[in-house]
Amino acid sequence: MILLSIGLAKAQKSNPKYTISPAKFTAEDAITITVDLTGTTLATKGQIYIYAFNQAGPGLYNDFCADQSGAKMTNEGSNKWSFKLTLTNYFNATPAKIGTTFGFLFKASQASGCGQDANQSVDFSTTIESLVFSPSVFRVFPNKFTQDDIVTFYMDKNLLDPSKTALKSATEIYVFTDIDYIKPDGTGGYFQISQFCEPVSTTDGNYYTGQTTVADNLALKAKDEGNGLFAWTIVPSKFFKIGDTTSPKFPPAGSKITKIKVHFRTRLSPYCPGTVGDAGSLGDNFGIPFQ
Amino acid sequence: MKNLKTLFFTFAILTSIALQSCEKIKYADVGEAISLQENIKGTWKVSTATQIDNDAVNKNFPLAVQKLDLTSRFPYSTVVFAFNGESTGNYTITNAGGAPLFFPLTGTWSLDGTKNGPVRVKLVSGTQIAFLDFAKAYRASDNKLSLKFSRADSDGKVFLSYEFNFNRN
Repeated sequence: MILLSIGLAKAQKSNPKYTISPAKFTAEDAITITVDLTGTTLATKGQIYIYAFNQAGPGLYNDFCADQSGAKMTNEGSNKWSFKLTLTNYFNATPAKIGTTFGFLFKASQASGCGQDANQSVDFSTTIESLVFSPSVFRVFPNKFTQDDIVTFYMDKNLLDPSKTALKSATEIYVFTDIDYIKPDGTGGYFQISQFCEPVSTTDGNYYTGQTTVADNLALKAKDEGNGLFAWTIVPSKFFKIGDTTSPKFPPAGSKITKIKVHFRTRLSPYCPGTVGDAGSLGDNFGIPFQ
Repeated sequence: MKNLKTLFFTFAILTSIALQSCEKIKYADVGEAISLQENIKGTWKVSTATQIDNDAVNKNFPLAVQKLDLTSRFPYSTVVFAFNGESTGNYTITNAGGAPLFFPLTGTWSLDGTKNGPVRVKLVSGTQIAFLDFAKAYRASDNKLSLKFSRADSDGKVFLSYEFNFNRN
């Protein structure tokens, strides 16, 4: 009877209700975990801490027996406690390493006895949404780069708006491109490698070399990768001739590109004089700011 | 009697198993040790070059948007690295086709690594310093080398890499 009484008196782990906001989240999203301890043993224990765990490791606050200040939950009143976290920061790991689930429990101060059931909740586990790659008409690879890196700009014809009939049917895709840059003296500059329209204008030569138009510059021709995908690959600092002294129109040495604009188009632009229609050209909607 | 027979056969089988488990197990030779130093000196020709978007890798995006083969886009197959000396010395990179490279073409090389950190190849040319990580580990007899050049942001987080695989020239 005595043993039975002891067994009945032994505290159980609390099993409180909790919510996560937003309910669906990725490893990169900021989330808030809120727990309602009403009716549980933990409700009388004072300060509540969170302890999270994952395949990526135990995270920043991994000493179960310590009352780590970074893992303190915020008292919201009425037995409710909350904790804000972003999983990539909390576990100091990438979304790929964190995976698709993480676990956590709520605990009181462990000072009176580490790991005692009365001082903690049961384990909870929840699902992490995967980061989904969204295909788009335009894409740049890699996502982040410097002006001295290899950069590939993609256009997927399959995803073009149906109104772009000329571009969708074109077998040769070119780009019109220009850059904004900062010179070493702090002043701004603008440079385009080839003129937009045929024929070459002799009066509009302030910003381009005056050597070619887009249609005559094979360096501006995108590579057909198959299945409707076209790619144009450059090293920006070399392609835009930074530091090339053969023309005063080239950006001086030490210039930093602040933005590169890439405009996929048909070889001859329908926007130019002597051509018909405008369904094949795209606006300057592919501006890539540099870091 | 039947029980005695059963007992005898059971004993015989267990004895047989026990004797077999006492036999010395022969493990295969672990083979030649991996030596980063031995595996870098000499002349190496690039076989493949790959650009890696670490952000896409970290997010577990499809493989098609994680990596890009550069070998078909630039003449990397003509690039030859020559590391002279034993554990340090001069190096020369011959780049006949003008493929984009991200470190000086000549200078001195050495192996660099902290006590608890990874061992890297350090390239020094005047005031320019570049580090190449060993992307894969090979034995010297494999006659292969794999080096990786990475770019990191101000927090030290790598956002892109170039992986060069070599065959001994």
